[in-house]
Amino acid sequence: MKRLILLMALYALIPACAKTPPSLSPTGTRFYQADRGVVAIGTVQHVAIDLNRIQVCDPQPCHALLSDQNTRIVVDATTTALTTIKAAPSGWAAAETTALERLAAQLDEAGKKELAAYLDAARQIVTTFGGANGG
Amino acid sequence: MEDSTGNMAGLIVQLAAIFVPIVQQIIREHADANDGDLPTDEQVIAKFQSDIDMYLAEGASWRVSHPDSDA
Repeated sequence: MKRLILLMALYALIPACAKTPPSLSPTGTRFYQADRGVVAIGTVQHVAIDLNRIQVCDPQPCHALLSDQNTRIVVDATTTALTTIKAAPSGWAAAETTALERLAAQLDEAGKKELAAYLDAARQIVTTFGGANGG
Repeated sequence: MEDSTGNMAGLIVQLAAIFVPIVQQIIREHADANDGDLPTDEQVIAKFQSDIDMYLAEGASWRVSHPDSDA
């Protein structure tokens, strides 16, 4: 249920990103758009950590729904992206694209399957709004 | 009985037709009076920093509880 709410929240970012509040200056707009990207990749990490806490025992032996190895890949890629975005907010789209490409290359099939919907949503936010204005 | 139910439904529809636009107007005026609750640059920048720090801390915390055996 929580995962569904997070996924809905992630997709809600898309129209929110498209319509920037008119009260913002160009600088404020850049940070507003960059924050959409931060929340998108941060949500992927949050879900990955949540899935890593869940133990499934079918098939035996019991194991994490998302393996430690896959979770570490997500956490490392997210940390790199967030550190880059913190230093240069206008480059949020490039940083996030790099992180998503890294996840696509390094996650195993089970990891890709568990996180597919969240990765798609994050990718959509970048491809739709990470254009010339950086978001 | 059927007439009574029909009248009640009609009354509810009429009341809704009267009050819904009034409530919408009140909400609109409140939003206008508060600048539509639109964020300022300072608020947006603060949220950006806070979101980044929150997700970085979440990742760091996970790493502490799951030390990499290969590292």
